[in-house]
Amino acid sequence: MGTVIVGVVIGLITGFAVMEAYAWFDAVALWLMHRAANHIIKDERERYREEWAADLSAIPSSLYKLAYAVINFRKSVAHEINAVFVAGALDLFDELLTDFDNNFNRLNSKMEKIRALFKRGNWPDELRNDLAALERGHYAFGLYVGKTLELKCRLEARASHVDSVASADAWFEEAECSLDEIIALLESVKFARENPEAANGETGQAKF
Amino acid sequence: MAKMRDPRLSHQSLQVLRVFFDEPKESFAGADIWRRTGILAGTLYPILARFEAAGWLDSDWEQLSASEAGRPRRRLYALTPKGYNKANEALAQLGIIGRPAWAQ
Repeated sequence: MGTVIVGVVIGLITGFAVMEAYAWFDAVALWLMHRAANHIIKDERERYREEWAADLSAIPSSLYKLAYAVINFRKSVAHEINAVFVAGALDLFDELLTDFDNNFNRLNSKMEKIRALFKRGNWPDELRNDLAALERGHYAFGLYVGKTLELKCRLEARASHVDSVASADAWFEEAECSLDEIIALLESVKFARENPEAANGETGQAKF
Repeated sequence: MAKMRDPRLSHQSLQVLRVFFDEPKESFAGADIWRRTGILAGTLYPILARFEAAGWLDSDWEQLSASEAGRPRRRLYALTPKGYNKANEALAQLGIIGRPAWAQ
Protein backbone atom coordinates (compact mmCIF):
# COMPACT_ATOMS: atom_id res chain seq x y z
CA MET A 1 0.00 0.00 0.00
CA GLY A 2 2.81 2.35 1.02
CA THR A 3 4.61 1.68 -2.28
CA VAL A 4 1.48 2.56 -4.23
CA ILE A 5 1.09 5.87 -2.39
CA VAL A 6 4.75 6.72 -2.97
CA GLY A 7 4.31 5.82 -6.64
CA VAL A 8 1.24 8.06 -6.96
CA VAL A 9 3.02 10.94 -5.20
CA ILE A 10 6.09 10.60 -7.41
CA GLY A 11 3.82 10.43 -10.47
CA LEU A 12 1.97 13.57 -9.40
CA ILE A 13 5.19 15.46 -8.66
CA THR A 14 6.68 14.40 -12.00
CA GLY A 15 3.48 15.39 -13.79
CA PHE A 16 3.46 18.82 -12.16
CA ALA A 17 7.17 19.24 -12.87
CA VAL A 18 6.66 18.41 -16.55
CA MET A 19 3.63 20.72 -16.79
CA GLU A 20 5.58 23.50 -15.08
CA ALA A 21 8.60 23.00 -17.35
CA TYR A 22 6.34 22.91 -20.41
CA ALA A 23 4.76 26.20 -19.37
CA TRP A 24 8.23 27.74 -19.37
CA PHE A 25 9.21 26.49 -22.83
CA ASP A 26 7.51 29.38 -24.67
CA ALA A 27 9.16 31.95 -22.44
CA VAL A 28 12.59 30.34 -22.83
CA ALA A 29 12.17 30.17 -26.63
CA LEU A 30 11.22 33.85 -26.69
CA TRP A 31 14.16 34.72 -24.45
CA LEU A 32 16.57 32.88 -26.78
CA MET A 33 15.11 34.75 -29.74
CA HIS A 34 15.47 38.12 -27.99
CA ARG A 35 19.02 37.27 -26.99
CA ALA A 36 19.94 36.55 -30.64
CA ALA A 37 18.09 39.63 -31.92
CA ASN A 38 20.06 41.79 -29.48
CA HIS A 39 23.14 41.03 -31.58
CA ILE A 40 21.59 42.58 -34.68
CA ILE A 41 22.45 46.20 -35.47
CA LYS A 42 20.35 48.82 -33.70
CA ASP A 43 18.34 49.94 -36.74
CA GLU A 44 17.20 46.44 -37.67
CA ARG A 45 16.87 44.88 -34.22
CA GLU A 46 13.17 45.57 -33.68
CA ARG A 47 12.25 44.34 -37.12
CA TYR A 48 13.90 40.95 -36.62
CA ARG A 49 12.56 40.68 -33.10
CA GLU A 50 8.99 41.01 -34.39
CA GLU A 51 9.60 38.88 -37.45
CA TRP A 52 11.12 36.05 -35.44
CA ALA A 53 8.42 36.31 -32.78
CA ALA A 54 5.86 35.78 -35.58
CA ASP A 55 7.80 32.69 -36.67
CA LEU A 56 7.73 31.31 -33.15
CA SER A 57 4.02 31.96 -32.79
CA ALA A 58 3.40 29.98 -35.98
CA ILE A 59 4.75 26.84 -34.27
CA PRO A 60 1.92 25.09 -32.39
CA SER A 61 3.91 23.01 -29.92
CA SER A 62 5.89 24.55 -27.07
CA LEU A 63 8.50 21.81 -27.26
CA TYR A 64 9.06 22.49 -30.98
CA LYS A 65 9.21 26.21 -30.26
CA LEU A 66 12.01 25.64 -27.82
CA ALA A 67 13.86 23.30 -30.17
CA TYR A 68 13.41 25.79 -33.04
CA ALA A 69 14.78 28.63 -30.92
CA VAL A 70 17.78 26.61 -29.71
CA ILE A 71 18.69 25.58 -33.26
CA ASN A 72 18.05 28.85 -35.07
CA PHE A 73 18.49 31.86 -32.85
CA ARG A 74 22.22 32.13 -32.45
CA LYS A 75 24.62 35.04 -32.25
CA SER A 76 26.30 33.89 -35.47
CA VAL A 77 23.02 34.33 -37.40
CA ALA A 78 22.78 37.90 -36.14
CA HIS A 79 26.38 38.54 -37.24
CA GLU A 80 25.65 37.13 -40.69
CA ILE A 81 22.69 39.48 -41.01
CA ASN A 82 24.84 42.41 -39.82
CA ALA A 83 27.43 41.52 -42.45
CA VAL A 84 24.76 41.88 -45.16
CA PHE A 85 23.97 45.41 -43.98
CA VAL A 86 27.65 46.33 -43.75
CA ALA A 87 28.22 45.08 -47.30
CA GLY A 88 25.13 47.03 -48.44
CA ALA A 89 26.45 50.25 -46.89
CA LEU A 90 29.85 49.76 -48.53
CA ASP A 91 28.14 49.17 -51.87
CA LEU A 92 26.31 52.45 -51.42
CA PHE A 93 29.66 54.21 -51.10
CA ASP A 94 30.87 52.36 -54.20
CA GLU A 95 27.81 53.49 -56.14
CA LEU A 96 28.35 57.05 -54.98
CA LEU A 97 31.99 56.94 -56.01
CA THR A 98 31.15 55.49 -59.41
CA ASP A 99 28.63 58.29 -59.95
CA PHE A 100 31.15 60.88 -58.82
CA ASP A 101 33.86 59.35 -60.95
CA ASN A 102 31.69 59.31 -64.08
CA ASN A 103 30.61 62.90 -63.55
CA PHE A 104 34.12 64.03 -62.72
CA ASN A 105 35.56 62.44 -65.86
CA ARG A 106 32.78 63.88 -68.00
CA LEU A 107 33.38 67.32 -66.51
CA ASN A 108 37.12 66.92 -66.92
CA SER A 109 36.85 66.42 -70.66
CA LYS A 110 34.49 69.39 -70.94
CA MET A 111 36.87 71.53 -68.88
CA GLU A 112 39.72 70.58 -71.20
CA LYS A 113 37.68 71.68 -74.21
CA ILE A 114 36.80 75.00 -72.56
CA ARG A 115 40.44 75.59 -71.57
CA ALA A 116 41.59 74.91 -75.12
CA LEU A 117 38.95 77.29 -76.45
CA PHE A 118 40.07 80.04 -74.07
CA LYS A 119 43.70 79.63 -75.01
CA ARG A 120 42.92 80.32 -78.62
CA GLY A 121 40.92 83.50 -78.32
CA ASN A 122 41.23 86.88 -76.75
CA TRP A 123 38.32 86.66 -74.38
CA PRO A 124 36.95 89.42 -72.16
CA ASP A 125 37.98 89.41 -68.47
CA GLU A 126 34.45 88.63 -67.36
CA LEU A 127 34.52 85.34 -69.21
CA ARG A 128 38.01 84.57 -67.91
CA ASN A 129 36.74 85.12 -64.36
CA ASP A 130 33.88 82.74 -65.05
CA LEU A 131 36.34 80.14 -66.24
CA ALA A 132 38.45 80.62 -63.09
CA ALA A 133 35.32 80.15 -60.94
CA LEU A 134 34.48 77.03 -62.91
CA GLU A 135 38.01 75.70 -62.37
CA ARG A 136 37.71 76.30 -58.65
CA GLY A 137 34.37 74.51 -58.55
CA HIS A 138 35.80 71.63 -60.51
CA TYR A 139 38.76 71.45 -58.15
CA ALA A 140 36.41 71.48 -55.11
CA PHE A 141 34.40 68.66 -56.64
CA GLY A 142 37.62 66.70 -57.08
CA LEU A 143 38.36 67.22 -53.40
CA TYR A 144 34.93 65.89 -52.46
CA VAL A 145 35.45 62.82 -54.59
CA GLY A 146 38.78 62.31 -52.83
CA LYS A 147 37.15 62.77 -49.45
CA THR A 148 34.44 60.21 -50.28
CA LEU A 149 37.09 57.74 -51.40
CA GLU A 150 39.03 58.28 -48.18
CA LEU A 151 35.91 57.73 -46.04
CA LYS A 152 35.01 54.61 -47.99
CA CYS A 153 38.53 53.16 -47.60
CA ARG A 154 38.43 53.83 -43.88
CA LEU A 155 35.02 52.16 -43.53
CA GLU A 156 36.15 49.22 -45.64
CA ALA A 157 39.22 48.71 -43.48
CA ARG A 158 37.15 48.84 -40.32
CA ALA A 159 34.41 46.56 -41.72
CA SER A 160 36.64 43.50 -41.28
CA HIS A 161 36.69 44.14 -37.53
CA VAL A 162 32.90 44.29 -37.19
CA ASP A 163 32.47 41.15 -35.14
CA SER A 164 30.21 42.18 -32.29
CA VAL A 165 26.97 44.12 -32.09
CA ALA A 166 28.76 47.02 -30.37
CA SER A 167 31.34 47.27 -33.15
CA ALA A 168 28.61 46.92 -35.80
CA ASP A 169 26.56 49.72 -34.23
CA ALA A 170 29.68 51.91 -33.99
CA TRP A 171 30.56 51.13 -37.60
CA PHE A 172 27.10 52.10 -38.81
CA GLU A 173 27.20 55.29 -36.82
CA GLU A 174 30.50 56.15 -38.48
CA ALA A 175 29.12 55.23 -41.92
CA GLU A 176 26.07 57.45 -41.32
CA CYS A 177 28.28 60.33 -40.16
CA SER A 178 30.47 59.89 -43.25
CA LEU A 179 27.44 59.98 -45.53
CA ASP A 180 26.14 63.05 -43.71
CA GLU A 181 29.54 64.66 -44.18
CA ILE A 182 29.46 63.99 -47.93
CA ILE A 183 25.88 65.23 -48.21
CA ALA A 184 26.81 68.39 -46.26
CA LEU A 185 29.74 68.99 -48.61
CA LEU A 186 27.53 68.57 -51.64
CA GLU A 187 24.92 70.85 -50.11
CA SER A 188 27.60 73.49 -49.60
CA VAL A 189 28.52 73.16 -53.29
CA LYS A 190 24.88 73.55 -54.24
CA PHE A 191 24.48 76.52 -51.91
CA ALA A 192 27.63 78.14 -53.27
CA ARG A 193 26.37 77.71 -56.82
CA GLU A 194 22.99 79.19 -56.01
CA ASN A 195 24.33 82.01 -53.81
CA PRO A 196 27.83 82.82 -55.06
CA GLU A 197 28.12 86.09 -53.14
CA ALA A 198 27.01 84.68 -49.79
CA ALA A 199 29.23 81.64 -50.18
CA ASN A 200 32.30 83.75 -51.04
CA GLY A 201 31.70 86.15 -48.23
CA GLU A 202 30.65 83.91 -45.38
CA THR A 203 32.09 80.46 -45.49
CA GLY A 204 34.97 80.78 -47.88
CA GLN A 205 34.13 77.22 -48.91
CA ALA A 206 33.66 76.16 -52.48
CA LYS A 207 34.03 79.56 -54.04
CA PHE A 208 32.56 79.47 -57.50
CA MET B 1 19.05 49.27 -47.11
CA ALA B 2 21.52 50.05 -49.86
CA LYS B 3 21.20 47.94 -53.01
CA MET B 4 24.00 45.42 -53.12
CA ARG B 5 25.64 43.58 -55.96
CA ASP B 6 24.09 40.27 -56.99
CA PRO B 7 24.34 37.72 -54.19
CA ARG B 8 26.28 34.49 -54.45
CA LEU B 9 23.86 31.65 -55.20
CA SER B 10 24.31 28.61 -53.03
CA HIS B 11 22.15 25.51 -53.31
CA GLN B 12 20.03 26.76 -50.43
CA SER B 13 19.56 30.25 -51.83
CA LEU B 14 18.45 28.68 -55.12
CA GLN B 15 15.86 26.67 -53.20
CA VAL B 16 14.57 29.89 -51.65
CA LEU B 17 14.52 31.60 -55.03
CA ARG B 18 12.56 28.69 -56.46
CA VAL B 19 9.79 29.13 -53.88
CA PHE B 20 9.31 32.73 -54.98
CA PHE B 21 9.74 31.97 -58.67
CA ASP B 22 7.05 29.28 -58.64
CA GLU B 23 4.51 31.75 -57.29
CA PRO B 24 5.85 35.15 -58.29
CA LYS B 25 2.75 37.05 -57.27
CA GLU B 26 2.66 35.59 -53.76
CA SER B 27 4.23 36.97 -50.60
CA PHE B 28 5.81 34.63 -48.10
CA ALA B 29 6.78 34.93 -44.48
CA GLY B 30 10.01 33.35 -43.26
CA ALA B 31 8.02 30.52 -41.65
CA ASP B 32 6.30 29.71 -44.98
CA ILE B 33 9.66 29.38 -46.69
CA TRP B 34 11.31 27.16 -44.09
CA ARG B 35 8.25 24.94 -44.12
CA ARG B 36 8.47 24.58 -47.92
CA THR B 37 12.23 24.21 -48.22
CA GLY B 38 13.22 22.71 -44.90
CA ILE B 39 15.98 25.32 -44.65
CA LEU B 40 16.55 26.27 -41.04
CA ALA B 41 15.66 29.81 -40.10
CA GLY B 42 19.23 30.44 -38.98
CA THR B 43 20.35 29.94 -42.58
CA LEU B 44 17.23 31.33 -44.21
CA TYR B 45 17.22 34.83 -42.73
CA PRO B 46 20.73 35.78 -43.88
CA ILE B 47 19.74 34.54 -47.38
CA LEU B 48 16.57 36.65 -47.34
CA ALA B 49 18.57 39.65 -46.12
CA ARG B 50 21.05 39.22 -49.01
CA PHE B 51 18.27 38.95 -51.60
CA GLU B 52 16.54 41.97 -50.16
CA ALA B 53 19.76 43.96 -50.11
CA ALA B 54 20.34 43.07 -53.76
CA GLY B 55 16.84 44.28 -54.64
CA TRP B 56 15.64 40.82 -55.69
CA LEU B 57 13.13 40.66 -52.87
CA ASP B 58 11.04 43.28 -51.20
CA SER B 59 9.55 42.93 -47.78
CA ASP B 60 6.80 44.58 -45.81
CA TRP B 61 4.75 43.96 -42.70
CA GLU B 62 1.44 42.22 -43.26
CA GLN B 63 -1.52 44.57 -43.05
CA LEU B 64 -2.89 43.63 -39.69
CA SER B 65 -2.74 44.93 -36.18
CA ALA B 66 -0.85 42.63 -33.82
CA SER B 67 -3.29 43.29 -30.98
CA GLU B 68 -6.34 42.39 -33.10
CA ALA B 69 -4.75 39.26 -34.48
CA GLY B 70 -3.44 38.16 -31.11
CA ARG B 71 -0.05 37.34 -32.62
CA PRO B 72 2.96 39.31 -33.87
CA ARG B 73 2.79 40.70 -37.42
CA ARG B 74 4.56 38.65 -40.07
CA ARG B 75 7.11 40.17 -42.39
CA LEU B 76 6.15 39.21 -45.94
CA TYR B 77 8.70 38.84 -48.72
CA ALA B 78 7.86 39.12 -52.42
CA LEU B 79 9.86 38.84 -55.61
CA THR B 80 10.62 42.12 -57.37
CA PRO B 81 10.65 42.34 -61.20
CA LYS B 82 14.45 42.44 -61.03
CA GLY B 83 14.38 39.40 -58.73
CA TYR B 84 12.08 37.58 -61.14
CA ASN B 85 14.45 38.14 -64.06
CA LYS B 86 17.49 37.17 -62.03
CA ALA B 87 15.76 34.06 -60.66
CA ASN B 88 14.64 33.08 -64.15
CA GLU B 89 18.18 33.50 -65.44
CA ALA B 90 19.83 31.62 -62.56
CA LEU B 91 17.34 28.76 -62.42
CA ALA B 92 17.33 28.32 -66.21
CA GLN B 93 21.12 28.33 -66.39
CA LEU B 94 21.23 25.50 -63.90
CA GLY B 95 18.50 23.65 -65.74
CA ILE B 96 16.20 23.84 -62.72
CA ILE B 97 13.48 25.41 -64.84
CA GLY B 98 12.88 25.24 -68.58
CA ARG B 99 15.78 24.57 -70.89
CA PRO B 100 19.23 25.63 -69.82
CA ALA B 101 20.47 28.83 -71.46
CA TRP B 102 23.25 27.03 -73.32
CA ALA B 103 20.70 24.72 -74.97
CA GLN B 104 18.51 27.51 -76.33
